[in-house]
Amino acid sequence: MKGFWSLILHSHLPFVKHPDYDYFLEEHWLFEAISECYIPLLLNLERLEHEGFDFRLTFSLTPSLCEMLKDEHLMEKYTQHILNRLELCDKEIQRTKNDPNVSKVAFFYKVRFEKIYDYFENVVHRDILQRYRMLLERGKIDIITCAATHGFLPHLATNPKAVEVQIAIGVQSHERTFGQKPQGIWLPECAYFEGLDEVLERHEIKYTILDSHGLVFATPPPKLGIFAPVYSKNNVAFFGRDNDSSKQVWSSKEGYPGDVNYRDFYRDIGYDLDFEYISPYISPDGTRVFTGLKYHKITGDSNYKEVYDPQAARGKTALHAENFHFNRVQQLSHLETLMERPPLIVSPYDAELFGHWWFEGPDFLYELFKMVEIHKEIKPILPMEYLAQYPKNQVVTPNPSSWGDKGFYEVWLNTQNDWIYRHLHSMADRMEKLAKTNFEITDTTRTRVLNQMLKELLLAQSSDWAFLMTTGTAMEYSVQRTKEHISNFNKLSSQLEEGVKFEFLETLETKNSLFDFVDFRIYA
Amino acid sequence: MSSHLLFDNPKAMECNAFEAMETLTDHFSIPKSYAINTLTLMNVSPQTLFCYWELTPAFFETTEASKDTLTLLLKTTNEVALQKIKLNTLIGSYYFEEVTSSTPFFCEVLYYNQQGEPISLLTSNLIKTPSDRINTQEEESRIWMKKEEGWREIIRSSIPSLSIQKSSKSLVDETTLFRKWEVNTLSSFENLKDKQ
Repeated sequence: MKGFWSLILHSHLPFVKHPDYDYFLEEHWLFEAISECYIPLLLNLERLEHEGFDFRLTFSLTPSLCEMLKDEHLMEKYTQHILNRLELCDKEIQRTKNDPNVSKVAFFYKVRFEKIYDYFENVVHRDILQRYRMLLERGKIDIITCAATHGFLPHLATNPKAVEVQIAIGVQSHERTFGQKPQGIWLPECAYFEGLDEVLERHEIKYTILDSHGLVFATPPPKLGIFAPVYSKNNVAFFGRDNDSSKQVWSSKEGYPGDVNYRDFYRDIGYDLDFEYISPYISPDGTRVFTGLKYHKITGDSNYKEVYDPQAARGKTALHAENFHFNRVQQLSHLETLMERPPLIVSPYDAELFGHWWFEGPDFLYELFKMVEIHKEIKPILPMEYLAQYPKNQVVTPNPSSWGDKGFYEVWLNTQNDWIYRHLHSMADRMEKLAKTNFEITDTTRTRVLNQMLKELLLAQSSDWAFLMTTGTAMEYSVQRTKEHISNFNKLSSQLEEGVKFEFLETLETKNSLFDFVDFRIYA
Repeated sequence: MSSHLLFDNPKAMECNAFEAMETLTDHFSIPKSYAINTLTLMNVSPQTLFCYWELTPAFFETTEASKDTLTLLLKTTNEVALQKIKLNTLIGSYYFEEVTSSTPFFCEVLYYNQQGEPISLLTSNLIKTPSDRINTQEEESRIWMKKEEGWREIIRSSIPSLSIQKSSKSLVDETTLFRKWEVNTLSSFENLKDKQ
């Protein structure tokens, strides 16, 4: 055995729920992630287990994602979404029957969506999280939590309570969802600031993950680089992200997902086919959207695209798994000569990369875990298993950092999104004051208003809105969502003085319905 | 946004963010101010800081300040003003560029009275910029770095493709420079020790 490998998949989507609409474009972020990522990943892990292959990986499942996966309204909409896709597959099999190559792909999608529908309705009974719980109980995976709504903690830290509550609710939500306290946490965007470890320790968090410069630029520098964890002075272990293994999977140009045989992400019949034909399967307002039925492979850099061949693509995943395995063995062989203990490579990725962006990604992971077990040169390990085996590690002060572009905080604070922070900070300050002054109240209505104010604050703090403002994708939606929660918070605050408008309160309670357990007093 | 640009174009200080917001379709109204006196400083990167401020008109009127004497200062903990920006608005924001990494900073909004003395109106929170390099300040680390020859290679392996405003090549160059520095520094320490 050359060393250890720890795979970490961060699964997150912002809380998006619009019960007042039958169809809402941004809700499809969740539906696509379920169909292309979460269920295919679970199916592959269950297949590994069924075939007797061992595996270890860590999932971060964020509280806002879990809240959506538990939401009956959204899960009913997801069922309708899959039924809609199955209907489209039937039409596509008919439409493409004279073109055997394309028809084969249409049939592939039909079988795939049937399998997903059957798994969702009949195997997990609309409760995807139960399968994660099952794997957790069997010790195959660890599940770690995240800040409540994925708030970018360094930018909330002007009010320490804002950070404390993001972490506290993240921990509470995890306990309620998975029946046990989380041992680790995924810091939103791997964003760390000095002093955050104190908060993590208070909530009994044992470990987290930082980008490599969070460790390499620590004080003092880590003796074992990113190839062993370090502890902070507050007893939290920090694991460092390995850049080499990240790049091989992340990079759309140099990485595996750019292989010419893999499915092209952008070519989708939602954009390619005649409007009249495709209109029942795109946005009712006529906006063309992805349907998930994509018939082309990447082929090359030009617009010319050949027909996708699922079997050929599947074959490539085995080759790429072999290459990834080979590179890790080389990397570990080199490192083991320099270290007194077996090196550890930590490979964290956004889970949605596997399946959504890289359609064949879940199959790649299946092949990879098989290869790892067959060769036995790399040992997959969970962070807590590693810490149990190597409890003595260097103590350092980790460097403030993130895994965003350029490695620090600019993605979430720049001229596109800096306007949000005076509002977020003011809201947190006012929430803290209101929590203190109303701590002893017993009035049910006032309590409901204050609890909803807390939810609006948490939703406004989600790092996704600032991120989307920077990238320019879903710009208007992210601006409106931020302004919506600021506005709701302010209106509710006014209603505490001027009288509660119940219709408004009930609408918000139904729409922004996450964390039914929260009590505003947590902000006191 | 650099301080040079702002001196040339003082209007750039006027709440650019709120203007940007208003160009989008508005379904929800949000306040332009919260009627509070605040000055908040935030980290953006090892070289950049962001601050926003709000001075209430009521508070401003109690002072002898006029809008054209308002000034924003960036300071380190030794009270040295590193950047000085003229303000012309009670609500606004500003990016301080080219600051030093691993350094504590705070900022201050003040005005100068008729005698030319600075009168502070708002003081921000204190923050420290992140480090953007391998930290070589600790005496302890110098000792074991010298002992552990493999450490440099471990660190090189840890950061080969790190993209923090640097190419891999520049990081390798930095490591080489660091190695030279370390050799020189340690040998001078040893020379000193021998002399003693």
